[in-house]
Amino acid sequence: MQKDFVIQNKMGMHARPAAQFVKCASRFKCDIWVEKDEEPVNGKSIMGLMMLAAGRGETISITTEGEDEEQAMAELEALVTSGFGDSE
Amino acid sequence: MLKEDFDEPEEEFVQTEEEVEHEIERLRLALEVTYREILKLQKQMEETAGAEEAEIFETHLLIIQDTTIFDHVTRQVRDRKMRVDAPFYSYMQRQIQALRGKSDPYLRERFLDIKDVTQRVMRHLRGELLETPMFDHPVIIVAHDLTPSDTVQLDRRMVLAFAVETGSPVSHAAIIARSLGVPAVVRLTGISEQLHSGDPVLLDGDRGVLTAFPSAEALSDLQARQVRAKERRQETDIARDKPAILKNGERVTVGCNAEFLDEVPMIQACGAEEVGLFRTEFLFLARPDAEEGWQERAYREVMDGVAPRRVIFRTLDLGGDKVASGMDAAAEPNPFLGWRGLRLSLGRPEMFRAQLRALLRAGAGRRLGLMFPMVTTVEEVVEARKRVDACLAELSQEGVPPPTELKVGAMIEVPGAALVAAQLAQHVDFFSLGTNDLIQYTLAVDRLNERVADLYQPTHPAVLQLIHRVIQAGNAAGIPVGMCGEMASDFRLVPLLLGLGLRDFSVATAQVARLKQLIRLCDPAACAALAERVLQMDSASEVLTVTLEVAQEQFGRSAQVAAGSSRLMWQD
Repeated sequence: MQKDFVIQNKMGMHARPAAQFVKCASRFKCDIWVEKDEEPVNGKSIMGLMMLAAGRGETISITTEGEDEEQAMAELEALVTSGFGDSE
Repeated sequence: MLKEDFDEPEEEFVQTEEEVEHEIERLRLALEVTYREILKLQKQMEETAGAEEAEIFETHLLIIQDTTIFDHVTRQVRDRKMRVDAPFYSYMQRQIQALRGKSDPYLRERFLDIKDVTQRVMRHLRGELLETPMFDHPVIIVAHDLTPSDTVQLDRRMVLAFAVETGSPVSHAAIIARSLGVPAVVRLTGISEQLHSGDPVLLDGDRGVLTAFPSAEALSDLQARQVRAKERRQETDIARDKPAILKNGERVTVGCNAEFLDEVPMIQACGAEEVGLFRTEFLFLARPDAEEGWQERAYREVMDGVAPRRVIFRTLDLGGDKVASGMDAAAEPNPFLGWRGLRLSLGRPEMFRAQLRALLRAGAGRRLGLMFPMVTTVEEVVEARKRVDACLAELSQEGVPPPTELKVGAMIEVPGAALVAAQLAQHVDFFSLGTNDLIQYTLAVDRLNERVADLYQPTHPAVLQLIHRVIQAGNAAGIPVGMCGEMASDFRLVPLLLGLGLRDFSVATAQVARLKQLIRLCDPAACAALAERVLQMDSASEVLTVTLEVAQEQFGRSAQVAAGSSRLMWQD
C-alpha cells in the first residue's frame, strides 16, 4: 500500500527523525520504501533517509509491501504526522 | 594534533569462492566489532556527559546496521571477486559526498557520522587497534574535524579547548564543547596543516580567535581576562538569589520557563522566583494516552521539586507544529491558523477535563497557576473558566481540597486578543505575553522561512504598541502582566520592556541570573522615557537603534550591547 505525507516538523526529516523512522520501520517484515521527487530509498536505511533530505512542507510517499504492511503503514503514519514528536 | 589518517585502499582481487566468502565474513565481523565499540562509547558518553549527548551515537549505530551497506558491498565483492576494503570505502565515500552536498546544514553535518563509522570499520578491516591520543599535560586540540568518538576518547581533564577546520555551531564538536564547558573555535580552514604538535597556541573562545606562538603581552592579556571572567561568574552566583530590584526600589519578578521533569534541579539552582511557564505538551506527547493519574503524578513531582516556588502550568498547546498522533489535525492546510491551543482543548472536552483535574489535584492545598494558550475571544476564556470551575466542584465532592490560591491566566499571543485585552482582563487573573507567536501573527511572518525571516522584528512599532496596550489593560484592571516569550530573553530589550511597564519576566533557567543582574542596573525613569520615545517611531530599525543606545547607558560597563547579535558581551 502507498500513502503520501507532508513533513510537518520544523527541522524536516533530519538525523533524529530519520533515526526514529528507521527504528520503527525495522520492526516490520515487509519492504518499506520512501520516495521524494521520484527518488525511492529503503525505509530501513538511515543513510537512504538522510539522503532524501525531506524538509518541512515537502511531500514524501511511503510504500509498504508484505505481510505486515498495514500495521507498518499505520505506525509510520502516526510517527510522521506527529512531526516525530519534534520540539519547538 | 589529530590528522585525517586513512587513504583510499587499492582494489585487490581474490581467486576462489572460498576467499570471497572469507572477505564477506571479514566485513561482517568488522561491522559487528564496530557496533559493539560504539555501544561502549555511547555508554561512556552517557556517564560523563549525559543521555542527551549520548544520543549523538544513535545515528552511528543505525549506520552500521544499515543493511544497504552490507548488501551493496557484498554484491560487489561477489560480482568482481575482490577484497572488501575498496568497495566498502568507495561506497561510504559516495554517501559522504552525497550528504555533504545537501543544503540543510543540520543534515550536512551528519556526514561526520558516516565518516566516523567508515574510519572505524576500515581500521578493523586492517586489523589495527584504535589508538587513543594520550596527554600528560593540558592541551588544546587542533584537528581537521572531530568525531564524537574522538571526543569521547580524549582525556577531558587534559583538554582545555578545541579548534577545528570544519564544523558549525550545530556540529558535534561545538555541541560537545558546550556540554563540557570548554571553549571551541570552528571553521579554521587549513589550520591543521599550518601547526604541529607541541606548538604553543592561545585560544580565545569569546572572540573566536586562535593565536599561534602568542606574544607575552597577548598571553598576559588573556590571563587577566580569565581572572576577571572568573570574578564575574562569582558575582553572578552571589547575585542569583537576590531579588531583581530597580534603581527606584521597585521589585521585578523573574521566573523561568521549563517543560521537563529533569529540569527541576536547574529550576532550584537558577535563582528563579517562580516557574512562569511550564509547558505541558511534552509530558503529554511522551505519553499521548496519559490518563489523569499519570499526569497528576508528573505535575505533582514538578511542584514538589520546585517548592515553595509557584508553578504556572500552561494547558496543552497542541496543534500547529506540535500535533500528537491520532489527533487528525495534521490534515489542516494552515495549522498555525487552525485548531490549536485552547481551541483544541475546548473541542476535546474529555482530554481537557483530564488535564484540568490532574492539575487541580496536584495543586490541592498549595498555590497553583494555570494559563491557556492561543486565546482569541472573551467567550473562549469564559468557557475555559467554566470548565475549571466544574472540575473544582467535582473534586470538592470527591473530597479533594482546592488549591490555597488559584490564578487563571490567558496567554496573549494573538493580535486580536491583545486588542481586546481590556475586555479579557475582566475574566482572568493575569496575562502572559507569548511574544514568539504574537510577533509572527502580527507581522504575518514565519521566522523559520529564510526568505522572510528579516521581517520577524520584535521592535516593530506594531508589536510594541500591542505589548504596551496589553500591559496598560492589565494595570487598569489590576492584574499582573508577564512575558514568557523569547523577547524577554533578548537582554538588549530589557530597558525597553521595563519602560513599557513590564514587571514580570520568565526566561530559560540559564538566563535568570543574568537577567536579574541587568534589571538591577536599570533606572525605570530612563526606561519609561525610552518607551515613550519609541512608541512615536515609524520603523523597527529606528526603534532598535535608540533602544540599544539606552540599553548601553543603563548597563554601563557591565555588559556591552551589539547591534548584530542578541548576545551581550559581558565586560571584563
